[in-house]
Amino acid sequence: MCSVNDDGYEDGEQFMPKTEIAVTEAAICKKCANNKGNVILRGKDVYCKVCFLASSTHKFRATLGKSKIVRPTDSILIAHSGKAGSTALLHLIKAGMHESVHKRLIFKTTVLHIDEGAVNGETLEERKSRINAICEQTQNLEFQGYITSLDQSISESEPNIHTMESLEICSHGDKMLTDLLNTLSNYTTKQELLHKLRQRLFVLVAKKLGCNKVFVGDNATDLAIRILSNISVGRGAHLPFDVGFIDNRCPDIMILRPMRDFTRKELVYYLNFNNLQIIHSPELTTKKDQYVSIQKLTEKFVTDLDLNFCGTVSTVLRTGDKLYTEVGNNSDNPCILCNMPLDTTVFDTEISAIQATMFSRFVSLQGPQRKYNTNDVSKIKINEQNEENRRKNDNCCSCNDTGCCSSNKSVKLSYKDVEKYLCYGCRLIFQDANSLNMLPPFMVNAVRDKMCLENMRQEISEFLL
Amino acid sequence: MSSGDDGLHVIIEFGGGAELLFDKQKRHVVNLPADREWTLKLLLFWIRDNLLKERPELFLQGDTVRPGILVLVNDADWELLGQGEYRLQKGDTILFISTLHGG
Amino acid sequence: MPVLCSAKCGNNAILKRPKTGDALCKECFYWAFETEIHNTIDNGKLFKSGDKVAIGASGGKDSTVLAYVLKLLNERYNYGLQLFLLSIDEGITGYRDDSLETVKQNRDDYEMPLKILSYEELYGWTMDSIVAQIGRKNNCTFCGVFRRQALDRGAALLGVDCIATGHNADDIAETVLMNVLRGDIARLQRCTSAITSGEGSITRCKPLKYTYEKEIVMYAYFKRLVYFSTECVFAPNAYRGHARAYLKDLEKIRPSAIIDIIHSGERLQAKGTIKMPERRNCSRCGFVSSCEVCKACVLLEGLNRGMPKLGIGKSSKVRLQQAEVNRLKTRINF
Repeated sequence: MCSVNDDGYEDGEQFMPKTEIAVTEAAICKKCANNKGNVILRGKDVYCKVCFLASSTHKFRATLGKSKIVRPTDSILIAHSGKAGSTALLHLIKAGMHESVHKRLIFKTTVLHIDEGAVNGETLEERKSRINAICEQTQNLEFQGYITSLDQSISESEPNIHTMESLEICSHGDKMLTDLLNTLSNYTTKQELLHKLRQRLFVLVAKKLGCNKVFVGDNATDLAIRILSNISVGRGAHLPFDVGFIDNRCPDIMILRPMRDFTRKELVYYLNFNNLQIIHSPELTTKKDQYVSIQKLTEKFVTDLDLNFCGTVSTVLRTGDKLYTEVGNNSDNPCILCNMPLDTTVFDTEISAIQATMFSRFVSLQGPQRKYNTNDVSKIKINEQNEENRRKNDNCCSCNDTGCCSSNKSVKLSYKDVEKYLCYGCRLIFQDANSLNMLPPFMVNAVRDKMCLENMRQEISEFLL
Repeated sequence: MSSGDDGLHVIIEFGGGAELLFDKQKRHVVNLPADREWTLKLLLFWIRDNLLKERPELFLQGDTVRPGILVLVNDADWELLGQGEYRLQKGDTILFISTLHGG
Repeated sequence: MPVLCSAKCGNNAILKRPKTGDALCKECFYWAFETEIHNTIDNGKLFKSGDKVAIGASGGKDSTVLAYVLKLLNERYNYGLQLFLLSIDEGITGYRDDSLETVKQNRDDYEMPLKILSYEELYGWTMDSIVAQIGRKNNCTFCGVFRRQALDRGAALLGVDCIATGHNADDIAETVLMNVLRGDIARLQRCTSAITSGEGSITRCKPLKYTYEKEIVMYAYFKRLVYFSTECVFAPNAYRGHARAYLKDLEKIRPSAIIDIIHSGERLQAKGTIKMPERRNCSRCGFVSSCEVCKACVLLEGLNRGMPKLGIGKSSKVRLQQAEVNRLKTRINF
């Protein structure tokens, strides 16, 4: 059946005007109404170079100022990937530091570049030359900087970092990282895991360097893509943290996204007008087709749609801004990978996607002639529990002497053990991993601790009763 | 293997609205040339070149069917048979059902 | 090489389940498919014993399967429901006239009373005549607004307790995406519930909420259920088409994506400060509305007065136009 207005959207489907680019021959800047236009934004607004740059600075300062979160006493770690967002971010901050006294940005800054060359198929030479370029650019903009590599996120110990002057590449952790990624069967989950590891490393390095905030270069287009792809990988519950201006899931270190009001197009113009170069490096799915991962497909979907309906990116972003994540009662037991409250509780009295999926798994393994041909769903639930227990006993990670589950060899971890401590989205990362042998030590230890605690609780409760 | 010059006889069917791309004809009995080993993937291109009447993008996307079109070989889901890699057998019935129409 | 059924019954599997990846034979698939819908109905408390339920029947695959399965489950599990078929005749030649034949077939096959309500008798206009007047531009807005209210009116005429619609998991996931794309936070929160009821409005429920479109089509095919599968002759909506294609592409990459999107939709929450539209009754026709006069009445008035643009587009724009008209009027008075 036709599904127009099925959900009672009274304005019908007329919500997004189609982009109609109508530029008159001598387009004049709409702001100063004097200069010839250099940029056209939102398919209709023409700006000259001067007004565009002024409004970019203004926008950046407004994003920072609005929240009243950034203070002069802050020590800020700026994540610099070499891409457009962080390059423009560095430039805007530097400009802000040279403003007149009352407008000057005076927080302390440190730049961090994370080397991900190992997973993106770069040769050592390519990595060296990229890091050189990043260091040079950082120093030209008069920032202090450090380099680390993504594998440092895996271990439990403090990450190794190097000052940019040393120009060092640390490749000894490469294998551990690539082995970990290789246990994942597809690029959707690989990209997900890389993102989580990166976020974790920001926090680890910030702690080590005594920074209390992290600036990342995520732009509006990236974030609109992330909203849709996160919804598609079951992370709807955590959107405000994953795409909002403030990510304060870690209580003492806040991750902020000051570039979130700039679209990719605006960044390109900003860099171009300021003669800034971005430093190219391949990503995991570069040169692969759109079906390689959910993230890549979503990127194509959003950018194509935004071409035809130019409000797409900003509308999606605004949707994300209206959401809220309840952190309250579950905050003492967050997901061991992404640190967000678990969104996996199943209530017996309600239906939910999780309950329906569990039920599907269960009925798929039964046959019609067997036990449950009656109106007895409660019976099914009980048996479902048994089924869960049965599954728990096979499907073990069989970690032996390879040192993955190092410290406590008497306990073997199965997917079922780990699953309990993961949110819905992080479960999907490991669900079809071909082995849990390579699970990052910080996760293994977290599972161990939690299992221990649970056992203890159980023992105590026996005494209490 | 097919006998002599006869080629490979298979039955191709369309349903769920997919037949609209094929002049509304639901059932096609076809004889594929015996010059190669026929896989489902090859058959898709053959259908595009020989049976399809309009708008190939509504049937094919890249080298597979457009997402949302189900493929059954002798009433079994092609996802169980290796999808495009499945080797056609004499007398196979291949059914394409669109899920995208009506509802 | 045939794959064996995951339920270990010894038969060859005929389908790979998109939600879980399990392979099932025909009999085990039927049972799993039906039992899951029973789970949704039972756990979601969609019906009460003795309820009169109208199935919104279009003749398409979803409502045909819904009618078949509801009849079967009602008998198997003694729900104690009284089932009706409710169809809306939009008055689209070459489309609805044919699909109504399918609905009549359902009525005979499943022995359920059928009520057909037409736009013509409710509003005095068929879609054919609306399109003749306004062209092909906003016709889907008219049709969508009228259909929603027509179902309410039909339910009132039949005196039923609720309307069951054939929305499947793919439809719900698509609606989640659509609401994100158009920034409609109120509906984004509501659109994943399997049952919705509000004052003045009749309860609606979606028993196929967790059922994949793929399985519905497979079920209808193997059960040889007859359904109607022609696209509406008036152009389908381009924007919704983009969202559907994206969803199908997602499903291709990871079949569980559809249920994962529904999970996202179920767990996301709006900030407390977001204003939710209030519900009230239209001062003209008395049916539910978010404004003083409901959208259907506004659109109808536009048609009748030969101003079909009335009520189309964002409401602020309409208000602006009206303000402009008033301004001109006062000017003339001077």
